[in-house]
Amino acid sequence: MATQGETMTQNANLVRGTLDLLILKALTWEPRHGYGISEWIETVTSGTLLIEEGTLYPALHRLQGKGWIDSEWGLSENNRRARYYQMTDNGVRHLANETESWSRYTAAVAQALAMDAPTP
Amino acid sequence: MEPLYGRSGAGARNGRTHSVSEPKRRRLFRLPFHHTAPREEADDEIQFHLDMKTEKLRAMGFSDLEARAEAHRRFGDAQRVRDDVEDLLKRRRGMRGSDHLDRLRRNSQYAVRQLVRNPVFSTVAVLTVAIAIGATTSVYSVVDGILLRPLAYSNPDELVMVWADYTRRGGPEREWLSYPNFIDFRDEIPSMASVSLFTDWSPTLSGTGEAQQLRGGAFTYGMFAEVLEVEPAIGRGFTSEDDSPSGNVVLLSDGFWKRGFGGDPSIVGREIILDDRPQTVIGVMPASFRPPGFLGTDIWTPLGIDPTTDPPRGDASFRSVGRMVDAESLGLARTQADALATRLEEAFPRANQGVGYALYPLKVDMTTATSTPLWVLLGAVGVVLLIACVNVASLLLARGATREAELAVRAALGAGRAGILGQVMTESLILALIGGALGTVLALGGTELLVAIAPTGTPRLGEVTLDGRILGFAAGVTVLVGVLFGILPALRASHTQPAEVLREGGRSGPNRRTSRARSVLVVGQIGLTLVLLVASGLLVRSFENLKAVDLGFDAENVLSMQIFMSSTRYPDAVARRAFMADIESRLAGIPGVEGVGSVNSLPLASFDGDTQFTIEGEPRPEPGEQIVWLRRATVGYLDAMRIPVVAGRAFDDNDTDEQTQVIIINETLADRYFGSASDALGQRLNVNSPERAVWRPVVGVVRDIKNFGLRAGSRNAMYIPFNQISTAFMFTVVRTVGDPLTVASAVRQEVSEVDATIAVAQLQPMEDLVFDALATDRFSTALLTGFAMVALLLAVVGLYGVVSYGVSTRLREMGVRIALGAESSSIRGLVMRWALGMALMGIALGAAGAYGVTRLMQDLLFGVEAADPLTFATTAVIMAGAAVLASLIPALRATRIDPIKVLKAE
Repeated sequence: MATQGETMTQNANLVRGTLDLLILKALTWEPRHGYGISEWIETVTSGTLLIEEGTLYPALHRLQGKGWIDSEWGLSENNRRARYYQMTDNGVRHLANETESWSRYTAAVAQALAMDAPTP
Repeated sequence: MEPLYGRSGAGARNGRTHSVSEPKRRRLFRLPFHHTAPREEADDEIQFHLDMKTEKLRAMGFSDLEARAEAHRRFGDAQRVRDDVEDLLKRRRGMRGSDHLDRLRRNSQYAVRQLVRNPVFSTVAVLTVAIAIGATTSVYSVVDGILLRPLAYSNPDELVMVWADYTRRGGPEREWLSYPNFIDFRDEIPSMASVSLFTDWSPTLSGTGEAQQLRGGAFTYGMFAEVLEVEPAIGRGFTSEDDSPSGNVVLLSDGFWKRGFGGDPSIVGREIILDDRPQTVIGVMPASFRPPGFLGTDIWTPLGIDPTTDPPRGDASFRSVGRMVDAESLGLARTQADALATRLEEAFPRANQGVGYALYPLKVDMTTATSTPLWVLLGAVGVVLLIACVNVASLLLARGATREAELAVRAALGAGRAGILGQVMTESLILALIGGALGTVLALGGTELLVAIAPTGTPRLGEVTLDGRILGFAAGVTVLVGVLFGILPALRASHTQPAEVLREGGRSGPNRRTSRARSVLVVGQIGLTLVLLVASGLLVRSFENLKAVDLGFDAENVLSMQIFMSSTRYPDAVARRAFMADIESRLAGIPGVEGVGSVNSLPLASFDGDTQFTIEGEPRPEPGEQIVWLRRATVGYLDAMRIPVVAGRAFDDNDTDEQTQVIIINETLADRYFGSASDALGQRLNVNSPERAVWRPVVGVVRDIKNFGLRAGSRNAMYIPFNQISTAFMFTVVRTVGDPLTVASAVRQEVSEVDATIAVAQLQPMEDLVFDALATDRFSTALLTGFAMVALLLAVVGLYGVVSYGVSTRLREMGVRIALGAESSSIRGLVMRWALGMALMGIALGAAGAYGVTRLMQDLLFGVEAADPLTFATTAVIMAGAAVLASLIPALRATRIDPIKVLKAE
């Protein structure tokens, strides 16, 4: 149970919105397939965030359901069939909003954590 | 905080490229091959990921095998991801019928995986369900066969039993009929299509090996052809010409034909010897014919009463069954019968005053004595089933809690409330189905067992089978049970708030909400169990009371048998007395025999028609008054049965025809009419018709005995010496020094040496009759007690589970208390108080419920009130004791909590 609980914790952190943001961010520059997105996240976060790569896929399909991304089948760099995801206009707008509120949120938390006296 | 992933904005899609899926497009125009199946798409996508990852890892220096394993490990549960993706794809494209099936299949596979993953949980749950469904189905199959199934005759709802109603005379509502009252009924009730009068007929078959006594019936014309509407399989049926005093034809049952004559068809037309008279077999009934119990099982003959001999209207020695013109005519027939009864009262006031007709549907009539115990048992087993459901629901709740985090992730990833509900319900139903299938197998044995231990004489026992009807019932109960124990955990799971659970860090494990829900269940369970415990406690007390009933005679070490002296060999009283004297003296000579006597009506074995008596010097009694049960006994009878003489003397060898006609009466009669036993001595009574009175002095008074069953009250009884009035049908009793069965073969030997054509029937220890008299009570008491024990076990397991669980949700609190120096005893007390609180609440609810329910079983009780305080108190203490035991282990475990470990884990 212990290992499962740990994994849950990690994924849970991701689930709380960050995975969505990371996916949208990954698609900002170009369409990518799922594996590409997971590689990108692993690289830019130094492998600290995405523990179970599988959880990426339900999230991708859910974002597609919301109309933030789209997908189509295409050929991969090694000539295999792969599903490519890309941003929609809605997705771009959503990412912008979320990025802003995320920044506010982290800044607020960081400010609080940086306090060295009980009141400013 | 708004739900993270609500289903919003689905319509606002405005892709930069053409979209792959277009949910809005009307299905009618969708090209069949537009999409690959969602499942394959999901598979392809995942496979691509895994392949790419494997490739990369290999490039980093992993071996092929390691690379693949590592790729899988990092991916997580690929099967679940595929399921979820498939679901999402389908939801976007709209579900089709086959998709629902698909989802069902997937839910089922997932459920089976879950069950296999938790073998202990699954085994406990499946066994609980199987035992409960098995027991319920077994009891139901008996109830169905006896009470619910239509009788196996054509249009069975048209059949009615016709009785004389003596209630206005203070007598029974189902009294036997006299021949003239039957004839009037048969001829004058227009809504009856046909009626037949019948009586028991137990002829002795001789001439084919050892003489044997058969069980059958004799009836007026129409019983088979018009009332039961059944024809012989071979040969012919009775005609109205057969029903005459000179008639000598019989019909055999299929069973007796095969058993007695090897199924030889040439039996038709042959003569067999019955009661020493040749009778012609005219046919054999079909194997499918199930004669009602009152017609016996072997052989039938016309009643053959000669109406010109003017049988007395007051002589109630027959029963009657008839067929109405249609099934709706019962009310009309009763009205017509009432009118007829009124006319007959006016015409024959002496015999018929206060006598009515009573009509009951045949099925009700046959099963009326059996129905209360059976319904009580079905109710009891239903309660056990309910308790089992509660147990499984409680287990599911506990498991649901440990899976809450998993379900929350699924919900967050888009599984949706309905999806989770469906998935958890599928698990419950699969659990129920496995349990139900196993339970049905158990029911095969259970039904057989119930039939085997059912009291002898239970009606329609042969019709109890486990067929499609019962399987349908079992299937219905299974689904009901699955829904019942699944719905609460499923609702709980589907209302999981992903955000809330995940904010707790996704910590999976016991929680307090689940603990509360389970507490409520366990309180209900304890309540239900207490109801069963009280019911079984009442039956046990009744049974003890019945066993302690003073029979008035000593049944131990007595062998009894029936002897019938045929009128051809023993035509008169002289011949019968000589034969009985010979038999009794021979039996008395067998080593180990202490005493021998005979009587025409053995206690607990048979019934003898009542007679009216008159007292010398007193006015003639009203009809229905001064009714006495008359017995003819040989000299040795009272002594052999150890029936004590309380005043006067027993019969002796001087009480013969040539001497004064004498009688012995019982205490009830003596007290009721003469004040006391000693005052009764010398009084003269008459049991003949008042016009030809024979006044017999009372020479002795004996103790009352239980003749009509252990519950029956005392009735007037009278003994007349066999040497002064004799009958052809007697019971002989043999008192032995030790086990009465050791002399059985010697008894048969002696009887056959006197007359080989005499069948020694029902040779059995007197104690067997006492045992049989308790059979119904023993059956219901044993079964109900068994059910109560199962319920108690389930409730203890349930309480144990809930208390353990409750302790585990409060580990931290307990840990802190211990860390702060709380004594073990106070921790223990905390847990025990909580457990006993639940138990006491359950006991209070159960006691209230039992108070309302047990009065329904008043008919089954003897010498104890339905609201017996002692029983209620005892069972409450038992329940509370069991609750203490159930909570002791978790309470002790709570005292051993290591605070450091617990607090660290937080």
